[in-house]
Amino acid sequence: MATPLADAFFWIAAFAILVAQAVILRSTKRGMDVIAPERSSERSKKRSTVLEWIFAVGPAVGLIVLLYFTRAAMHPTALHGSGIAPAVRGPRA
Amino acid sequence: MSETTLPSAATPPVTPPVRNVTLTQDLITLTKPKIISLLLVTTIAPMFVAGSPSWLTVLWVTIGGYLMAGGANAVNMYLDRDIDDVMVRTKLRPIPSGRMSPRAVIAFGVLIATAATYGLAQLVNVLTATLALAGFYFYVFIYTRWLKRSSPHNIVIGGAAGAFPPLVGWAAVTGSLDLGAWYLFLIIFYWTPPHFWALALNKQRDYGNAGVPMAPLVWGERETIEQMLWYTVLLVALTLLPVCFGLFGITYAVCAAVLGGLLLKGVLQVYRERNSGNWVRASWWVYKYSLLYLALLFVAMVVDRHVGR
Repeated sequence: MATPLADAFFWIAAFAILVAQAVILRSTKRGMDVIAPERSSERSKKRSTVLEWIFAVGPAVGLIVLLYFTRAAMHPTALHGSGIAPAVRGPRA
Repeated sequence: MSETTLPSAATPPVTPPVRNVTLTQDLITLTKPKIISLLLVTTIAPMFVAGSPSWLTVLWVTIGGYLMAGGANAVNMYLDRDIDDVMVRTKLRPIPSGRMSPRAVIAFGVLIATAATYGLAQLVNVLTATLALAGFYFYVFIYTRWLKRSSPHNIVIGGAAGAFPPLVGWAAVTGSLDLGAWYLFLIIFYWTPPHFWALALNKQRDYGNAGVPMAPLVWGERETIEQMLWYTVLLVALTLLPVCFGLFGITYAVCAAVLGGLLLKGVLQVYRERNSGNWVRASWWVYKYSLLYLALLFVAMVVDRHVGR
């Protein structure tokens, strides 16, 4: 794929991913607000809320890291010696 | 973690028909062969994306992958034996039906997982064996033992267990992991929530009876359906990104766009019906199509790498 087209494609996909992830996080918060009053104790409530947030935010952080390395693979000179490029150019039959 | 209160639902008086089953059939049932068939597609296809493996390597990974996943599934049946007994779709399994003892089941699961670890380390490489074993532990301890009964995020985080196979296949060929491998991992990770929530929407009574806090029971149907939609949007965008850095070409891009478009159309149908409650047919369609979607997406990856770009 030509670089300008690939760049455009990247930013469109990255935008869709970030918007979707943001909506998922907002929806998760709404879901947690629904179940929060049912917790038996304050301590249990706090602990489970923290865990649920880790479960929700963890994948989002992973996605941001992935987008960073994707960008680096698209412009290898910007991330010299990252070790990403060889695999991207992997062998073909 | 939390003590989530689930809506109670009366157990329907449905007793599945009893049939004569041999020990061999039970041992195969313990491995959940239908589920493993998709896991093997997502293990073997990445091998041909990562390079050109020998047929012997493919054979060892297939056998090792089957045994490891089968072992995890058997241990899962041991750990879930109490709830398998109250769920209609699982009450005919070897333990709840009384055909096998729990001890025999866990021994079988651990035995074949151990054999898989040893075989993959000896015949493929240590990284492959380590990743396969990590998938086993993740499924057994993180998903089954911890999250499944304690969090509505059970299949979101637990979905990572099903995302290990591409890493296993990739490592078997290259001996390492890189950006392409992590993309395949994340594609399965983000495919899992809409797939399983489509099932959970239709099996709420079963999950409620078993005390499994699936998202529709805890967050509600509307919230779950909205998340299904956004997970699908994210998934479709994610499947197209590898084209940007040259991992795949135009053949894959077209296939991913068409397959993803169909999945999105199905989920949108569920989303449109979220207020009326008439999403049963659409969500069954999404559940079944998402299985086909994942298999065809991985086949498209191989075709793109080896046939045409």
